Amino acid sequence: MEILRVENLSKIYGKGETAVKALDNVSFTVQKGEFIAVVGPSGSGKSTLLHILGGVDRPTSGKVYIEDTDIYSLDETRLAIFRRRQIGLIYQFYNLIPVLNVKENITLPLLLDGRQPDKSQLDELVSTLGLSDRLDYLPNQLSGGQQQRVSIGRAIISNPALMLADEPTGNLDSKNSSEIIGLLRLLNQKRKQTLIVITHDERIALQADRIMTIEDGRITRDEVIRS
Amino acid sequence: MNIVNKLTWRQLMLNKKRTLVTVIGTIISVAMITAVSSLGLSFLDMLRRQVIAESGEWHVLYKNVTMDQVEAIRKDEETQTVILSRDVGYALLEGSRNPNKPYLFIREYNEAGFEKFPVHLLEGRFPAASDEMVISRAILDNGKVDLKIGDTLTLDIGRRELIGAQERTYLEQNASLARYGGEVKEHLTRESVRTFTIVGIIGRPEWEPTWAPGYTVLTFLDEDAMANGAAANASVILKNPDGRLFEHARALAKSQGISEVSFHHELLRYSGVIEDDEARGLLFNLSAIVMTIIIIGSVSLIYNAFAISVSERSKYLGMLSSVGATKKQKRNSVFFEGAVIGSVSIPVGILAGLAGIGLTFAFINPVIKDMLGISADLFLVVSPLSLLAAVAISVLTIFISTWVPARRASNISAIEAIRQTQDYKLTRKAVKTWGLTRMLFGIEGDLGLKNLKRNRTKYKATVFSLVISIVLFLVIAKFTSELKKAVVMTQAGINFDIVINIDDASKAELIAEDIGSLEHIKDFSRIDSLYLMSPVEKEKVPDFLKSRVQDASGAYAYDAYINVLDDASLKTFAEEVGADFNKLKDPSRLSGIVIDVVTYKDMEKDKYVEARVINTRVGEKLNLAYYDSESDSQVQLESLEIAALTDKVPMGVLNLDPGTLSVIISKDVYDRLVQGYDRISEHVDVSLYMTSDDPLRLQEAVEEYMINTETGFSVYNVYLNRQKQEQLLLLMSVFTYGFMILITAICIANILNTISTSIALRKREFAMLKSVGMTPKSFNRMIYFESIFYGIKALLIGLPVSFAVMYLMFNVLGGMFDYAFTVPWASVAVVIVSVFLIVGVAMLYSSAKVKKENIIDVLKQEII
Repeated sequence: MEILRVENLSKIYGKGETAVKALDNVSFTVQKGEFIAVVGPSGSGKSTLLHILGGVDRPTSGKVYIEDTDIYSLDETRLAIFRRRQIGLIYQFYNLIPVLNVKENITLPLLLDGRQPDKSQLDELVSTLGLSDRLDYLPNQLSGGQQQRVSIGRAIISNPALMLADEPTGNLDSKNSSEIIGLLRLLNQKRKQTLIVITHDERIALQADRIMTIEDGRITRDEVIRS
Repeated sequence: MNIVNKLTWRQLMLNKKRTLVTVIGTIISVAMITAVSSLGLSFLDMLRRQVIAESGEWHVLYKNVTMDQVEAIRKDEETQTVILSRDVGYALLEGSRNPNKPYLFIREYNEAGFEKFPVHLLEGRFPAASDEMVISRAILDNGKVDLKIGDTLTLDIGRRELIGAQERTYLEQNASLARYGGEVKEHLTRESVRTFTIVGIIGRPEWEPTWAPGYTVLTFLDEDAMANGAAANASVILKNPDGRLFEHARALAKSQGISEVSFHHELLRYSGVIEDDEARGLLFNLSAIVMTIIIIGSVSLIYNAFAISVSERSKYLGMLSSVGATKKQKRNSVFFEGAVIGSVSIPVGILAGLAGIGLTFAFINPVIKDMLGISADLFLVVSPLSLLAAVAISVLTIFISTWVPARRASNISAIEAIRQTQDYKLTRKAVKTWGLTRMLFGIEGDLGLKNLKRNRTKYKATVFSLVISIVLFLVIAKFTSELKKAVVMTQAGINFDIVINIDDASKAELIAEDIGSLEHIKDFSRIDSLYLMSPVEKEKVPDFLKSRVQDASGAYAYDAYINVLDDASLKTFAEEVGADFNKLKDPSRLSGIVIDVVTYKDMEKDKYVEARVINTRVGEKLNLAYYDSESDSQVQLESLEIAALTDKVPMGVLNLDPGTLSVIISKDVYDRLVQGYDRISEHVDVSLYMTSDDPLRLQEAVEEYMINTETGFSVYNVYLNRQKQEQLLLLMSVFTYGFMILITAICIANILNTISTSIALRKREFAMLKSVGMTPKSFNRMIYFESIFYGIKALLIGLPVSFAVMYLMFNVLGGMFDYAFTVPWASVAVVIVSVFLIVGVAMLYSSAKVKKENIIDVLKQEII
């Protein structure tokens, strides 16, 4: 089942002489349950692509369909609601809300939606993340790896159509990195969670079903390594 | 400049916006300190000049002194100048057309007197010998007597003696011509004869009461001729008037056997010399409170600015420390910042403060002149001492404000700074909220509240600023209304400019009609008044009055002061107190309005008291009786139904002693009431009351009328007294409200500063919230909740504190006045609305800037 379709996506920063083409006419599709690693050198446009897929940046031209919804035809409010229900974003620097505890940070998208989390589902997720005994902690009382697990929890709590991660292990040591990779892989397999991860980390790339290479704003390679 | 200071300097230049905010905040504070001190000085200066213009420049007055005693006073080391004056007496003014002013009032001055007393020479010169005199211009204009410079007058001089009094009674200038039943009841004694040549014409002196019966003329006091033991009054100008002058003058008087010493308290007060310890204490407390509030306000603003600047610089301070800067160097860098900011802000602030006050004066001078006819202008008075004080206070303020941030800066360690530890210190307890908050206000409200709690210092600073503004606003509003009330109370209900008493009731009708049609009259009313008695049951008399209204036989009876209002005035008054005018006019059912709340001065307690004087209700009957002297008996009249009870007083009806009930009735009711009792009407006084847009000209017109029709009645112009009180009130209001506006400006700057910084520092977080799907609407909700919580918190603290301060102030001022404490609810409402408005605007303004930013741009910013 096709979950994401990208058509002729371009993104240009700046104007005239100083204009930089971050994305140049990119098109591809993603099936449900796929685990895609996006690799490429710095400044190649990977992050821009991810942000546009996540609905937090707007493309200069082209379209993004998530579960057949043209997300950039939505107004700001609808797009925000779409984000909290259908997209989970994970950042390199976690970006947790410092005044909310672990449980509140994880359930934030639901809370914003005015919903209460399903208790058994939450318990299961939290134990998967290994955070059961940290629910009342504030982010600053956690280690980096734990914080990143919280942000993964937040990304997946609303069962989004698409989970996007921007260098999720870029700020972690190797032990914590392996844990995070393992976790992402586990979620992908257990829940059939569609996952797009930007990474420099070869180990992540090797866990993926498909590796996409971006250079100068274009997809130069797109190979399925397992299916 | 060493390297640390160089770095600080660069940092200041780099963050121009932040530096500007700090500089502006400091400028406002300095300007305010300057403004307050020069405002106070300027007012004092103006009041001093006004007093000198009205009653002359002198400090101590020794009465009835002989030349020997004068000599001793002259020799005293504190004496600068001695002014001699003597009231010689009255002489008949031949041909005076003003029936109320038939005399000349002759006063002597020595040379210094003409110089230091407020006498305005219009033509000619001042007298230099005891057979020369200057005459008041009013003799020509008002008395219509044709005198000119060079004329010679021979006058029989004597004193005013009351005719028909049991003892010999002499009258002075402040008693108007004695009349009774249309006849003059006084005459002049004959003491001496003197001949004068007119050498000049002066303006009517301000110290001559408008109702005085004699026109002022001044002649020269010849000291040599005084040697024979005659006495004069010696007014002394001192070299350096200070607090010791009272004792010194009394000692001098005692050693010289001078029996009467008095002081020019008004002038001394405005020169800062006050004898009364209580008054001085009050003044001292008041200025101490004002200064404390200013310093607290300024320190909190400047402190905030520096604290924020330091927290933003913490990263580079940490780096400095990692390359080996000592604590002292780091601390000094903050003091250096203070010095830089101070050296810019203090001069600019002082100039801005002076300019602001100058502009204010330029603006209010014409207003004061127009409204109050005050003769002295308000000048900007700047004393080097006050400027020095302003500088010192500002330096102190900046130093205090930088002290804590400097200490904090010195403690910043390298690692803390690099990790930006602010949020590392967050504890679960700090951001704990009740589950109820989330239930009631949703996640947005909960987030808003947690946001407040995360940074206690800033939260407290903002709430504190708000609280200060709230307290100041309410206290000043209350203070001003209190002051107004106090002035109204001491005026004993004088609410008119001119009153005319007509003692010949038969001519009243005609005079009232003619006077009522004169120009410059704003309100006009005619009141016929008489005294009756009102016997009442014991229960109706409040306890404090029981002994006062009980007569010899043990029965209770009030004096009833019956005021008959003309229909037009009664209609206005009835509407004001909510009574039915038509019912009041119905002679078949006698009714009247009773004033049941009275303000009076309690002599025992030396206080003004406001009290309810009778326990009764609308609809009950008021018994009336009069004492008939011929039959020596009390005659019962028809009783009066109470149509309304009120604490309001119509123009002309005075608040009397509490044993007297003031009753207002219509002419129709009056006629019916006294029908068949002819002897009552003999005791009726007819008075005409008016307010005017130009009371002096109106008085002239009234006197003109009196001269032309040759009718006799007395005219009292009380406008000047009233005007003085109003002047004081206006000046106080300008001062207090000006002060309030400044403090509020500081606090608003403070709040804007804190809130916009706190929002700017949370930019990343906002972007984050948006990226997990917070809609613009819930973002706004969060911001609204944050503002509302700020406002609620500030009000929860500010309102009780305000009430406490108001109550305290009420008790301090209440030493003189006795009435119930009231809460100014209207001001409270204004405060509540304004608080939410200010916070809301500050938050919306700051968040609007954040909202425009692209999520990604913000998130991409370097995390450190």
